[in-house]
Amino acid sequence: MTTESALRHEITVVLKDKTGFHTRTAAVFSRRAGAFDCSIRVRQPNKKEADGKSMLGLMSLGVKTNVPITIAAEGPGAEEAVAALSELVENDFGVES
Amino acid sequence: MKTLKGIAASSGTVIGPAHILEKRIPIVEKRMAVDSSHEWRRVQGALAGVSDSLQKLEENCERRRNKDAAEIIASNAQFLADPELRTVIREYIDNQHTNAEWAVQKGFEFSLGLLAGQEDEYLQARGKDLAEISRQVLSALNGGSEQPAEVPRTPFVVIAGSLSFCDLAALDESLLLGICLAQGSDNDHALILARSAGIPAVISLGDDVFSISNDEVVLVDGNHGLIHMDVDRNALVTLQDQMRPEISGQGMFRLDPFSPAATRDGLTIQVMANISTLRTAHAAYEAGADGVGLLRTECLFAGRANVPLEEDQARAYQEICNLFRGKEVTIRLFDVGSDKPVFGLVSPHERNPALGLRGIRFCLAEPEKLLKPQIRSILRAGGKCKLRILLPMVSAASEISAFKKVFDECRQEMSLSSSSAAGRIQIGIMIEVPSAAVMADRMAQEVDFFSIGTNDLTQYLYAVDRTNSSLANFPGREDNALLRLIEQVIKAAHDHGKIVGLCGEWGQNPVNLALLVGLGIDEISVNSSFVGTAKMLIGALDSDEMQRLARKALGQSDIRKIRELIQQRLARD
Repeated sequence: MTTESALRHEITVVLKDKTGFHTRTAAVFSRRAGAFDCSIRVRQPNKKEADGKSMLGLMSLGVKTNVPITIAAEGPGAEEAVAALSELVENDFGVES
Repeated sequence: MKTLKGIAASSGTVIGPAHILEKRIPIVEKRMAVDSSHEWRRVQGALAGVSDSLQKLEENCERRRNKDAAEIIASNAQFLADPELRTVIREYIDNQHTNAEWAVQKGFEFSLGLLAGQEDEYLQARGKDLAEISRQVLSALNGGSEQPAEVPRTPFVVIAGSLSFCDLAALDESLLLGICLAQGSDNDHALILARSAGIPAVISLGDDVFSISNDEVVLVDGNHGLIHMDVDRNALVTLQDQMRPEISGQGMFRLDPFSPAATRDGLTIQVMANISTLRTAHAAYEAGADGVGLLRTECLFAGRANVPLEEDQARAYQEICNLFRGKEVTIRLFDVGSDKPVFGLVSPHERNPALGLRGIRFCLAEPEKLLKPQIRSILRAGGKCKLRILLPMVSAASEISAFKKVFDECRQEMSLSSSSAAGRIQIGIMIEVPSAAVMADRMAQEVDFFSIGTNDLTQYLYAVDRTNSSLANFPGREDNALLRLIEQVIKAAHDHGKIVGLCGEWGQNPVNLALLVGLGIDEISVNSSFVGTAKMLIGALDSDEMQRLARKALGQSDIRKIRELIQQRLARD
């Protein structure tokens, strides 16, 4: 594993919220993503991608329920960011701490 | 009757006075700005300012235990931090050298474009939330935060073009009876909240909705998407019959303004009206008032240069009396003083008119010119109702005996026996001076009924001038000194088998009304526009439960917690 790849992490998770990315879920996700220094991108397979720190960007993806999304982070704290954000999605954006 | 057709957005039926919500849309001009960094600082300041005000709103909602609204506000505040939005705004300022306002407008237009491109109707509706945030940022740029619109303090139906989540959060939802919108969409956050709170709503009514005027009584039918205006008595009864199957089981919003109000456990409470003119007398009758709890006679003849003639007075009283056939009509003697001189009567200059020659003191000081003609007119009025005389501003029992002496003289002069219809007129006093409240047990032996006047009683009890705006937020509203005094007055009256009512603004708050039911009030007199609502509220209450809560409230120095408890109880229905 090169240094470069060590700074880039990604994971694919299924978004279970019944409305997909909407106001609350996008706000919760982008707020959490904004706490990390690394860049965070979110994409649907074979579709456009968005800045994970942008609530608008996430909402504009039009992610519906039960759709897999890929969270990719690059830069300092990337591994931790991917872990935290995927956990958030898998827990259905339940509790924001 | 006039009916507007729209789309049903939240089910339920309710009747109440209209409150029109007005909103300013900021106008944005494009200008060139040389100092880009200054413009960007202005944008940052405005974004932070709106963020702060949204946070306050969120905290307010949390305090009112409205978690849904708090969460929606918190989520929407996140738009302000959006890097894409900020990037677009920054580009307009740095590259095109525009003013902050133009850049903000363009930034939000771009953001709206991202959402409008969605097929999902739900996401499209989110554009309205964004437009609300944009409006707030622009008005923050144009000289600070917006003056909050005046919020009604009694229950109301809101009339607006559209209703943002912020508008709804800024209103006190315990007072919000229904929603009528010119535009609006099912997916608006405000309507999602309305449905979860069980507030009936009708949307897409078009601009016709603005033909409704402030305080006009409207009927919101959230089941069929209809708004009824100019509803007369017969039509209401018909509508009520049509709706009954749907509204049964909806507890709180029982639509039955013409039958007496009774709690769930069958305790009847008279809901009467405060009236000042013949016009308001008709409005009170149409609204289904069980009688007149307060006729302000000084208002009925306002503007006269002389004391109104006995004939004129008798005719006016009779007309009102005939309207309320078989019911109680309470005529309050002229409540005048040096602060409101009337009928060309000369009163001495007073340094403190609120504590001066007012009410019954004034009447007794002018027995020939003022008091006797009024008593004789009332005795002559007769009519089909049960007349009652109410003495304003009584502070000592001796005033009652002084009045009775004059009253008996008039009766003898007119050769009326005490057993005749006119002779049986009941006599009561306003409890609005603390000394009368303290001596209520003594006073109760002298009269047939009490009417607690909370407007003056509050100001005399707390020594707070009700016209002094710097005391507008005086914490007395939350304190229970008034509540304790009311409880003592009710108990003193009941101990002597006398009736107690309450007139005044205090009783027009749903929580206070619930507390009064708990304390065993017999009558409540309110503005016509609140009569229907008061009956619905009473119909949703359980008197035993309210009695327990009222007892609990009496034992605490700060009754805010009990208020919250009752508010939640009311909201649950």
